[in-house]
Amino acid sequence: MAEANASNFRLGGFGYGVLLVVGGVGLLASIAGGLVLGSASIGPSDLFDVLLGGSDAVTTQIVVELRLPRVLGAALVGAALGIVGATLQAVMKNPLAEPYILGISSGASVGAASSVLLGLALGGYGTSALAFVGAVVSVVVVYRVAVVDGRVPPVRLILAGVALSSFAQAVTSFLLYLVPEATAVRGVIFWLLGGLSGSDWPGLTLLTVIVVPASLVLIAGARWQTLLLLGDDSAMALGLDAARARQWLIAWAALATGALVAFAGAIGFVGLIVPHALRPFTGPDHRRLLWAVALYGGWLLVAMDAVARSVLAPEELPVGILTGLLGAPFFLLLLRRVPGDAR
Amino acid sequence: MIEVEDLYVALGGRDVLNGVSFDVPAGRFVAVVGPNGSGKTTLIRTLFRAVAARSGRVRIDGRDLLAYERRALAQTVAVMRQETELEFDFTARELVMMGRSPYKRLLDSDGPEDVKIAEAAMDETETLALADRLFRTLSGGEKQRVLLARALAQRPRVLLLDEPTNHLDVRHRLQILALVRSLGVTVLAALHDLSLADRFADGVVMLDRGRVHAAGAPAETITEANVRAVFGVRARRADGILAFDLEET
Repeated sequence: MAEANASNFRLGGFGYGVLLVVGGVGLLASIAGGLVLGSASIGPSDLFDVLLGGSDAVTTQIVVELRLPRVLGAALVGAALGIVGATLQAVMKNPLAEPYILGISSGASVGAASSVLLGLALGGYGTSALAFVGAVVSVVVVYRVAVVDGRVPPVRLILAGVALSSFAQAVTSFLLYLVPEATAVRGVIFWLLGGLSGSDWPGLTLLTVIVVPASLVLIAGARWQTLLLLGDDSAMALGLDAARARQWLIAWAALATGALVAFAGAIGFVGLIVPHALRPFTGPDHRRLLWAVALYGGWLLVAMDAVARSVLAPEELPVGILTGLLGAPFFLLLLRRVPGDAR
Repeated sequence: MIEVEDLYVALGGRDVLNGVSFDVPAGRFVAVVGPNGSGKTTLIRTLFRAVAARSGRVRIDGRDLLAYERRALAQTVAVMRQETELEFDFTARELVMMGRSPYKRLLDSDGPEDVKIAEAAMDETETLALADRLFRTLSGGEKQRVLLARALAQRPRVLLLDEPTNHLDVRHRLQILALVRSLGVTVLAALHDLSLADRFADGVVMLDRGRVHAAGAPAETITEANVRAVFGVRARRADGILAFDLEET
């Protein structure tokens, strides 16, 4: 039929497979690229040498101890940010939801920074735990403030998120002002904007232990998420306990956000851009969307971090500045497209 | 099939239903009528447990509503209501496929059997041709038919309809109700339009401020006296056709 069909981009089963393969290859290629890139010149052939154990100690050290945890961390953070963003969009039934915009990341930052203040970092565990608490408190506050009769009007959600985010950032700044050691630990920019420069193996291990299971739980809950997109009444009519599903998903999303922020600070907009860019191809069904979001989110953040490291070399830019530069205009564009009658 | 007994429901501290009782026998079409705010929608929502009753009891197929596991309930009872809040771009087919959810555990995927059932439902509602269109781009009547297809994909024995004919032109109103009638399932429909209730329903429950004002066969419920008392308008029947007028003052 010749009539205008806005679902033109929607991929069938085969196209979806190709989308995933391309995402996987892109992710792997960006990881390899991230290992090669840096001030010490290491070529692709050196990479193979390291892999086969035939490289010199310094090269091995740089690749294995410095670059590998960072690149893998970027991949994991990007993937999880995408999944968490998409999940929040379903849970809030709102295309503009995202941990950074809603102030959840900033709330987690408060928790993470206060763990340093209270001397409760505990080798990262305390930081993650308090970041989780901060994330949970923020998401509950934002949701409670924004919800009206079971619906979350976009404008209310954004306003609540902006207010909470400003507040949380002020608290974090205040904490950092009080405790110069916190600044010494990670740097002010880290807590407020996010970056991957502090990546190391112990941190990555902790991140993996929390974020991988949490992401898998969220992916497993994809059908619930799709049902929630239909609205609570429809979800219930189709056999879902909407309130309980929402609580469960929010709890895991907050747990993941806490761990992400403890590892990489509050990196914004990845969770917004990636699901949005992919939805025209996968459709809004989260059973298809989330896998794609994981691959492309990882790819995006590894690539952005590579840019962040090289654009001002030998100085490096926190990747959160880059995602903000890219993401905020994207967000404004989206905001214009959200229909005004969506109350 | 549906037994409602002395149902009380409060929303936000306000009593909406005050002791509602009625039965819907298996295979019958019963219309719930009443002015705005009389509690029609709340009644429907209570019957699929979107809101909890304060007291009273509902039995579906002889079993207490609260004893159903949610997915089991959705295999028995399907709901068609107005979908005004869809902010994501589902295609018609994707929406209808979600009607198979009650039969799925969390990690189950949709099989060829589900696709067949969904397509049969779309065939029945004449929406197969719309399958790959975005729901958002459909007309009001097409949307209603797609949502009906989703309800049918649940393979329910009870169908709850909340204002299924709103925003429809006269032909589509008749069409959708005739279709629902022909399915042979038990139907409870909240209807604005008294003439449609009169024409299609086997029984009518007339609500007034959360109470049953009258219940029974259409000709016995939609009477001049009842309509005047509940709606404040004058009803006349001529040759079996209902006509309404404002009361002369």
